[in-house]
Amino acid sequence: MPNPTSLEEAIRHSGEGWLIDSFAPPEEAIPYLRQTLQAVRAIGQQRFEGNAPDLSEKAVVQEYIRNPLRVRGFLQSLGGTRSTEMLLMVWRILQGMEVKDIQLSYRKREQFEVRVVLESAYGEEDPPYVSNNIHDFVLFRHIGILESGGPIFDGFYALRVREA
Amino acid sequence: MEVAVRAIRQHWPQAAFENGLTGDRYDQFWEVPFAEIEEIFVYRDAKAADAWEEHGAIPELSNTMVHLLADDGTITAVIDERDANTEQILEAIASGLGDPILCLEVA
Repeated sequence: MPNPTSLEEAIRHSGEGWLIDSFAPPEEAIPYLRQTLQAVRAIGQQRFEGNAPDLSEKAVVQEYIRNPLRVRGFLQSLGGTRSTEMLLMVWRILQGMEVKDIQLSYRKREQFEVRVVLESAYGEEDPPYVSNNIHDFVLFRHIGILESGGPIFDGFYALRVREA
Repeated sequence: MEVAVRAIRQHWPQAAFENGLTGDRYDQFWEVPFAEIEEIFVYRDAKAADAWEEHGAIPELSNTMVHLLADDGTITAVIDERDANTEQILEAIASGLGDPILCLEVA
């Protein structure tokens, strides 16, 4: 079982060291990622108040120890989007929220909007997660697909990144 | 393992979970430490989990639990007996595990 004690150790242990090494300059990567986590945490607190997910660095590292593959998907997302709202959506899916509805609207050179509704096992919905940044489309490559009584998007998985 | 458990949750949204080796119980999906799990009991709900703990494998609890075992890249699902519901669960597991995202490598 992994035993990182910091965000950087977790990132490097997960094989996602590119998040740090490709940042310019690399020494500013961790402060930037910490700021991003804080911003995601703040949005969670706005939305869920006392029930907001704990996205402190310590909590992310602890969750990485418990579920490294799951958190690796989140770490990849940290490098794939700058939308804190969509990162919160990713974390909520990792926690077990299910994808109830996705509305995608795209018109070349004119418009992109994705709107996602998540619901819990008890039917409670999160407020919609909305993005107008086309680069956030990359997140949807991570969502699991299955068929069971109809089409289902469920889960958020790390991509298996080939070593260069 | 997580993919299979998620597939079961499609049919048992309020499923409860137990580490098959340690006996640790998790009533919420997000509590399950998948990195440590080689075997897991997925119960239909917490009530079914309680009943299994109290009574064991009695006929009344048939098909209220799926036993999943992970070994060397394969997942084995053990059920009591095949019926329409368990067939759907097994199909969901197979469908989820067939998702290319789980095996494709990206550069």
